[in-house]
Amino acid sequence: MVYVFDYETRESLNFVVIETGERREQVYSPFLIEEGKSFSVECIGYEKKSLISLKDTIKIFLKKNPINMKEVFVFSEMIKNKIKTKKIENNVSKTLEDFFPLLQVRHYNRSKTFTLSGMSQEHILFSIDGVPIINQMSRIVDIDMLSPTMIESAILSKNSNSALLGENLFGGIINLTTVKKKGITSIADFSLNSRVFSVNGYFGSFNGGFFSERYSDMIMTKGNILANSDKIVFGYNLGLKFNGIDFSLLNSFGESGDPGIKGFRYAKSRIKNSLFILTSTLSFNNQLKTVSSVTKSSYFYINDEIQTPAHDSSFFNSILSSISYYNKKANAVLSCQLNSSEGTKIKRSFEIFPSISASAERGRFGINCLAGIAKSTNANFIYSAIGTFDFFFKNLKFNWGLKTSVRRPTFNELYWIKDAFAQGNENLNNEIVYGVFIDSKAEKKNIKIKIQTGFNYYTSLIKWTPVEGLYTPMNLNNVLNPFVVFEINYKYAFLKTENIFSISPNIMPNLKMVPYSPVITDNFRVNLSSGKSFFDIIINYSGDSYISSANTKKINQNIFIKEIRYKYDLSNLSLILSVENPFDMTLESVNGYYLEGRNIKVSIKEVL
Amino acid sequence: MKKEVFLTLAILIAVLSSCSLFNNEVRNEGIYILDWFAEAVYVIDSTLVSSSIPLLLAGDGPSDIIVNDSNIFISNSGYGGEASIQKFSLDGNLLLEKVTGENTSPGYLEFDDENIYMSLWLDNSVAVMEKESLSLVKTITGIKAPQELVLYENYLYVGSSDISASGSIYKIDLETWALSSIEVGSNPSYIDISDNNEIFVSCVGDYDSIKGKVVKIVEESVVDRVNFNSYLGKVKCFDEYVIVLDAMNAYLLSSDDLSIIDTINMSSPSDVDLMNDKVIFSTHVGKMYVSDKTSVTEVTEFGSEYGFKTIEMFIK
Repeated sequence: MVYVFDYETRESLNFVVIETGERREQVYSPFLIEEGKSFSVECIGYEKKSLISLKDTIKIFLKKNPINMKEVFVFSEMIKNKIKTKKIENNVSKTLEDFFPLLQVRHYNRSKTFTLSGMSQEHILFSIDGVPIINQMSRIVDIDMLSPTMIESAILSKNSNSALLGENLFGGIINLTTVKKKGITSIADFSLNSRVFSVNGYFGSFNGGFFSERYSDMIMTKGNILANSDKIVFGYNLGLKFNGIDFSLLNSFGESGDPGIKGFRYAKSRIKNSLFILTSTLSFNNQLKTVSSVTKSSYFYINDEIQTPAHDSSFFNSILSSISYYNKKANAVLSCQLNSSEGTKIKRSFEIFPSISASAERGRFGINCLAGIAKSTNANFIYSAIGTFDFFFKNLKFNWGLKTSVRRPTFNELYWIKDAFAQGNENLNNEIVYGVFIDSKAEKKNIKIKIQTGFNYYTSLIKWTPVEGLYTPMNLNNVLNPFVVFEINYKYAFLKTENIFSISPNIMPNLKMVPYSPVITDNFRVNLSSGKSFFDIIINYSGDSYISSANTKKINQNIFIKEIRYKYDLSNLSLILSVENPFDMTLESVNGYYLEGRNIKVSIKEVL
Repeated sequence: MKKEVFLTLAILIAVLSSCSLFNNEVRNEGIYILDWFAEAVYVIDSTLVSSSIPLLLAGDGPSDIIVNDSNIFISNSGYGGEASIQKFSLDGNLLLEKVTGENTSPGYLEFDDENIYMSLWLDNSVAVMEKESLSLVKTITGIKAPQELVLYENYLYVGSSDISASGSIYKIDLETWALSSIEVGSNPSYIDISDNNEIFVSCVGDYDSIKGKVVKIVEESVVDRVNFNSYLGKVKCFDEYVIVLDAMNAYLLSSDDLSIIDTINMSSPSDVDLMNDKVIFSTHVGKMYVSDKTSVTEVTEFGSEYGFKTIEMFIK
């Protein structure tokens, strides 16, 4: 049996061309070949390899060999704005954390929010295979509610591509792609205080799986246990594909404790939530498809330890319908969202959100345009426009762009019912951003360099600000966010290093900095590989970040040795042993919320 | 010649000393603003000129401030950090900090010549501390969600955020530490006491069905009350008036029968106090107002460009 893999990623290459003296044909890998026979294997984009079959089992690793094409028409809408792709190894949330500093995570005990550098959680859209996970209440998605074996990779993109998915957020998209390969994937992930088990199978036109995640109380530094910080999540996913119709269903349930904030701890308060996503995609041909999805989420919070006791609930429902047309030069999407919410903390709300958007890309000049308009029954006119083009200078490739975009307020920002701490603001205006950026790339033998620079200028930015003693979302005018991201990858023999350095100050008109937006961040990782063994060290740096727009108090800068990871990768099985926070550093993620201390994890992933 | 030199030196020393004393007086007298958003203290001097640079940074989630002749004391609820009481010099240097522990939530402060009194909201107690060392003298327990403290003669009166309809204020005898209570209504958080021992209580309400009311207590009995259609805040009595705050207004009442004399519109008032013959209003939202005691409703806005988000102020 002959197995063929990518030399760098160790991923299996499914379709290859084999050539013996007698025949040349495309086969599905793995394939059988007669012992003692000379043959060659090739695959588009890889170097050809010739050898003689001397063993029962042969593993062939093909090196990449990029192909040159004169002119390419690309009608995928996310090419220009894609920042990075990462494969899900064992945990979706952990993989997203690996995007730091391009993506920043704020930990609120067991809950996490994700923001692009210099932006807020409301600016980013999560999608599964390009179908948005809509949560117009807060735009927060509990990423633990997604099965880790269902998701294959996470693609982080920036700017307002979400307009093409029926949303209009200028932060970007985290698109989670699902596993498409036939077979069974299973993950077992254990740590000192967690047990995660997940299975997903893909058989012909049917796929499905389930997952269960159990986290006991968080282990903080010095082994201190944070009481009432446990979490349980379980769920299942089903999919069916026939005659151009795709159905997929994800349903998950969670329960966790809310240990509160430092200084105000709760011993018994509980959070329960659920997520239901049903999607159907109908492809008429290669140019026309429709997407319909129903997203329902619920949230319950019970806390009898505060005055007045909280028995809160909220329900959010969304129906999305869209029709997309593609051809070689352009695509267009017409979509409509119907969103509704009700709960004890939010006024009963309803929104109709129709939108139309189009994009075009021309390969020769790299001209890429996107424009979208939308109208919400609860907000003013919404639009997005972005134009980019490529140019070359010596060996450098540049992508230059201009953009403007509008983000409508969430239901929470508009309709949060006044309580002791906060209130919504129905008079909020949309957020508006204008921006200019230049991305450049250079590549030499062992080194790849990427630089992104530009600035965002917000004529209106929504921030929760104290008004009348209550946190209230207000439009903050004239916020400037210049940024530079410098990424360097170096590869030599068994050594790979990557460093991403970002400077991104968010400056308010009074020259104060937007809170929780560190100006300087950096991620440095070293990877050593030998055969099937991979060894990683991940180090993050965060500069000072202020905890309020008064800029009097801050979370101090820190260098965080985040993780030391060892991976042993067989063709179908990978074993990961990692030590998180190995130096047991005490780090505050948000004021009063701390990261877990040292923890040891073992993760096994098997693909059959 | 020597005489003249000594005389000149003596005059110089006297002048410099007096200047120094004068400066101290200017610096120490004024309005100490505890800003909950910046978690800092700012000072407005007696001419109502304010500094935009904080005098000091408080602890986590500051609750109250008191200032005596030589020190500033700040209680910190500990929201997001350490619950504590801090002692600063008048220059703003931190001298001492005592951590009270999680789920204590230090709230309001009061002081006499020897002790500092501090309500511990989540601990259902009032801590009595020696003012120099902040060492604990006594903890008075059995007080439901204690709030504002007011010292009158030898008694300490304690407000409570008991939201039941039968909420009480508490009275502590500072000689015997005997504790008694007076039932007044839901959430009787704020208290002020007139010179002739009339107690005015602002009952906030239960944030649901029970709205606020002001209650007048004489000789431990409720003698008068006035209901409001809103949730109330601080209360202050002086001369023949009582001022009570809610989210959007300050109300001027008659201290005699609690009838409403007038309403002063201001967003989110947080505190009210007297500075000589002036009435000073602070707000949560950046504005400050001043009026004469004789014409309380004719307020004039003042304050800094920064805009103090005042949770408490202390006028010295």
